[in-house]
Amino acid sequence: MRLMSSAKTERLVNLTMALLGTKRYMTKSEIFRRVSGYSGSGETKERMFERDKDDLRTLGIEIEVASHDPLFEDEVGYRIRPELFQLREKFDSEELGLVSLALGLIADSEFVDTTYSLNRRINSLAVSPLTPEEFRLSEINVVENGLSELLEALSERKTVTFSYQKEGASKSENRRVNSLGLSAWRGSWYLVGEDLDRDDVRVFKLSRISSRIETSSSSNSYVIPADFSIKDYLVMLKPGEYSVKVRVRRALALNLRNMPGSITQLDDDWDLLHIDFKDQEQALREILWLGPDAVVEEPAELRSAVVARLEKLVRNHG
Amino acid sequence: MVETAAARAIRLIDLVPFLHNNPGITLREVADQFNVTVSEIVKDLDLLFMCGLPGYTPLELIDLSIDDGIVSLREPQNLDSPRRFSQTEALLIRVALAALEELLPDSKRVKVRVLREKFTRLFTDQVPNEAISFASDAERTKLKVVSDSISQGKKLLITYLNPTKSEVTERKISVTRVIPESHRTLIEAWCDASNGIRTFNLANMKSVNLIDEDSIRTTSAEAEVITKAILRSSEDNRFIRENHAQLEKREDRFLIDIFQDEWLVRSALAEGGELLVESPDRIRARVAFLAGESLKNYSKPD
Repeated sequence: MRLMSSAKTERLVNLTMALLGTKRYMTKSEIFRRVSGYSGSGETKERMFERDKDDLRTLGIEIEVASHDPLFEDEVGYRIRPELFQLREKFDSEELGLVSLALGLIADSEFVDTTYSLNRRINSLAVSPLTPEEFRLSEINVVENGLSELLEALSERKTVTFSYQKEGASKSENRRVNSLGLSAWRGSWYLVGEDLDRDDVRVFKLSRISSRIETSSSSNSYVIPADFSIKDYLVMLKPGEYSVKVRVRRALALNLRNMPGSITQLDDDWDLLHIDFKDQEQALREILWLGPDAVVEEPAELRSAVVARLEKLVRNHG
Repeated sequence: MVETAAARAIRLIDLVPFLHNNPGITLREVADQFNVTVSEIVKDLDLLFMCGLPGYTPLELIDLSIDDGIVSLREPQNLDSPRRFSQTEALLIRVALAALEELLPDSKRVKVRVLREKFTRLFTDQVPNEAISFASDAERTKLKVVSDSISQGKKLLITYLNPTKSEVTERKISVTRVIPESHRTLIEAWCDASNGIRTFNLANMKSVNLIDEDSIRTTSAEAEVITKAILRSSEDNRFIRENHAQLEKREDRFLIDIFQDEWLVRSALAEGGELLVESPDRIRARVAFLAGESLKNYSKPD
């Protein structure tokens, strides 16, 4: 005697194949009559089918429901659309190789099962992936906690709720957000989304989300504008308001030179940059990083802050 | 963990196109690909053999056999193609491709970008292409790749900008030494194209990639050993928070692998004394030296 679970597995495969193979919607009675594995009383079969249908949907298989006869609206039918179930889009070997290579970057994370499944399916196409062998990618951290929930919410346009501790705030607040985009910047992930309670588009740093991310059940609850570009919303890519004059050695300090602002040549060794930082904190960090290659000219308060920190560095490292 | 009937059904459904498009594959390879044991695969195949389309005559069943450890699938019925990527899966692929785009040399980036747009168009066009972006910390990533190359003994492929000639070239190099100077970080390496030791300025490397070719060992090569640095700082220091995955906490100290001295030196400077490098001495001393040199800039009369 086969185990119950084997019988159920077999029935789920048969049901999938039958619904995939049918051109017209199959009614429940047709399913019970023709698909192998449905037995028992009418009520038992009904229950079996309802559970099977839920199981397949949980696995991501879309089952369409419709009434195929307008005169008998009660008799609904079911089918699986082949174009939604099967991968019919064409990719060449090189494209598939690049996808495999990219998946390798996230394989060692909470996405391990998904990457296994995706790689398996890529290897199940008539065209085989051709990986550019010469590359060994350095290991960088691509994923971060919360990314998985947010990707799901974003892909299905579901509202998310979480508690968030703003920089400098002493406690977290609840947020309801319609996600618009995600961006990694210097090793951290940021969510840009419409904050429903504040009625404004806000940026959230994933590492500052202090609770589980809850996803609403209804999908397509909002629309992302087609011309949305996350770069327009990330503050670190926008000019700041803290104006600084800083002297930097010529041909150095590329980070600062790339910021919006003006550059004047002072002499053979030094250039004067006039740039805007987000705040004093950012200015301090960027300038201290450059060590003897950058000297603050204005404002005076930043100049003394830099000196104070340099003195502390000498004291505690000397 | 007990596998649910549904999870197993998905494996069975995925097995069919896999076997269909990989004729002559061994049971062992199938098991590896599906991350289960050979005996589980055999059980799966026994079960698949009973599945098919309504009618269930031999004409409608999935037809397969195992002969001498080799699986042959003669008739996949309507399960001949793999399952389509879901929207969430496709979005994850877009994230992975965006990260890949950052890591590849300039010459290969365009292909990845085009592919990323293709995934947007085909599977997730409700989430615009520009809604996902990935920007790494270029300087830090480059230093990390250089360290990986030394520790793994593999060559680097670099896109190098020669500022005096303003020309860009691609070169394969075998790193021999990293030389941190006060104003720049230099990489000393054997350069295949020049057939000799050359020095490169890290700031002028537009991209740096490890390739699967063993480094050329030169007599001057000194493999740099990766050691740990001991740091002291409060928990809520910015550096500690941002790097907390790489840190190991030991009582009131933090340990971190040093991939490249200069990165840690500069990070300590940027934290302005809130992050103390206790050891190794060479890093501690360099932080003090650079801070001292910087102070001179402020004490000089203007």
